[in-house]
Amino acid sequence: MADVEYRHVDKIFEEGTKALEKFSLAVEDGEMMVLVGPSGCGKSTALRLLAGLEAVSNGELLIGGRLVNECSPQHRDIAMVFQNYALYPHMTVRRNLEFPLRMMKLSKSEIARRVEDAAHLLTLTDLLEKRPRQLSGGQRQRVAMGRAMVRQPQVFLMDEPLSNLDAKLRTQIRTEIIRLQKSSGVTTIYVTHDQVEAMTLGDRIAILNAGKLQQVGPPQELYDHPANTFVAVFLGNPGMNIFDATLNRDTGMLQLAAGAWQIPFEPLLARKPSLSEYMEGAMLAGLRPEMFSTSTSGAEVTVESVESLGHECLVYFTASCVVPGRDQKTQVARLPGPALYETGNSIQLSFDPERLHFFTADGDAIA
Amino acid sequence: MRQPLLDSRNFTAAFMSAPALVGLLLFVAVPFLFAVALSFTNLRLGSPLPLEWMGFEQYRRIFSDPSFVRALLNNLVFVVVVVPLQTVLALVLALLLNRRFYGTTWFRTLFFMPVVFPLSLVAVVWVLIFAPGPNGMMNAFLDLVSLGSWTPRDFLHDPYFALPAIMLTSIWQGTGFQMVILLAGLQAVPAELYEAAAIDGAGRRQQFWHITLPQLRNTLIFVVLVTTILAFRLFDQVQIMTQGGPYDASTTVMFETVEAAFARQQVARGAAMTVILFLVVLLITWLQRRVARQEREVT
Repeated sequence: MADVEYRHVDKIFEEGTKALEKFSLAVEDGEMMVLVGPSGCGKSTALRLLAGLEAVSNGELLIGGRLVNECSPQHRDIAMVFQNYALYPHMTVRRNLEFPLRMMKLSKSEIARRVEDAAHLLTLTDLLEKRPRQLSGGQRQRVAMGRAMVRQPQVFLMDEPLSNLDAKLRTQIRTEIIRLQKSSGVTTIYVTHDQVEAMTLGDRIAILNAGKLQQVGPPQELYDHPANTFVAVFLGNPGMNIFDATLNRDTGMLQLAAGAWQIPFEPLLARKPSLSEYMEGAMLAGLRPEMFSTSTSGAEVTVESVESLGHECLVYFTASCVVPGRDQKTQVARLPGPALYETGNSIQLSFDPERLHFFTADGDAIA
Repeated sequence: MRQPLLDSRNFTAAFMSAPALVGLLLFVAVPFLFAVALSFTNLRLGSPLPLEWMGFEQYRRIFSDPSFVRALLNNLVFVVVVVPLQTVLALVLALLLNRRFYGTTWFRTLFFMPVVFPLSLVAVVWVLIFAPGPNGMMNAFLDLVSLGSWTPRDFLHDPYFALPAIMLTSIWQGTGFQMVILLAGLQAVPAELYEAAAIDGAGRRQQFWHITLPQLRNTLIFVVLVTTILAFRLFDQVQIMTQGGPYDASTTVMFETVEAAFARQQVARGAAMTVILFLVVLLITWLQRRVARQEREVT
């Protein structure tokens, strides 16, 4: 078991694509770190660099304090679960599980013992003599996990290991992964594009976009205090609404969405004095969809579409009081109860101003 | 409910496949059946004797003919030596050319070129290479690498060197074909398997034994089968380079057949030889399919 550290790592591919830029991240010993971001953000590249499948262009990679830049994959003492599992198709499940152990030249009895243990832990015992193509997706996934576990490596790497499974199985195996990771205590780096997976799995989450690290922290902290609008919009389902916002000195009001909402800013300034620097300037405000409620005193908005989830519904709307000529951005509110709203109708929405997040025009959070 | 035999779909299928089927029937099946029939007669072109039914007499005669037995043996030796050598060489070349380096395409073309050349042309070129006397290219080369201790030979008229000379020519000519097929097989192996194996601690050699070879299995079976069949049909090089000599040292079944049927006009005898060749090839194909099927059952 070991900690992992990326120090100012760049990855530039031969054709010139910058996949990762000045990427620094420290993963603690025994921690479950989830790398998350949209496709093409560099998260898989970060994992492949650590595995040694790609070479680092600049910067340093450390596993357990040891510099591994020049170390080949087979000498890094890591195990990886691939998105498509990459099971050896010509070997039985048993041979697949044995393979890393045979490469380590362990004794026959030790190999047998470890394979039995892993098979028992992952309920693979009945499948040991089958070939990968005879297994279902979930079973293959478990074999891939088993092949990584028998090694007892310093670090587990998981590259979207659940993306080929159906939703129910995904939830089930997610729980399984958490249990296995906690009981083994092996440092794990888990890559996913799914923010729900990230929120539920990670001790900490690292969010990437366009090759750059956006924010690292425990899931709840990132959700509650996003460092920028990217993180704010990326986390949550749906993500945070972003409005343009101005503090109008004359009226003493915070104007949201071109004035759809007018809120006295005095109490906000009292809580967040730094806001006063942005008086009359361009600024962004964010609000989570679940913070809206219907009330007769709210701003009038036009319902664009409604998605009913049974116990709640998502109402997509545009704020009706929009300055002509500006693009009307669709926003979303998560409202409790069944959908009683119809497309094209007007409803009134309000919220607690305390729940607003503020960002600069460039998208960085205002402290 | 049974479908009518000639509904529109069946008709279309029959219509579409007719040209190929007719060709196959006309130029393969019918002539072969003729050959089988003829092999039981005494047909000889230009012979005044009446056509007679001889039963298995032709086969008995063929197998008591030392030239034919030698030819069959030569074919076997040829297969046993050339098929493994050529396959291993092709695999090595394919592995080398599967890497990315400057000029890969150029090398691939170069190694494949002999396949495109007509066999007769290749044979003529190699006759020149094997020219007797110290100025022959092969003799000069062997003289150079053995630091002068090589005695020049007339390879193509030497009972010990005639067949190996033909083998060398065949390997040179045939390797490119196998290489291309193996290369295609190599490129079909998912890169992910190598990555997984590397992470699992396998070095290059172990990756070759545990990933490359098992993944290439079916391609290798195919390549070996095709090369074996081609090896039994060995004729062009023999015809041009050695005429089967000296003293049958390099004769082959195909060469004996052509000699019998067209040089000596013993059509019935030639027909019987082709039937034997057919049975040998059939046996090999059957064996290969058995091996391949076993693998399919366990996967």
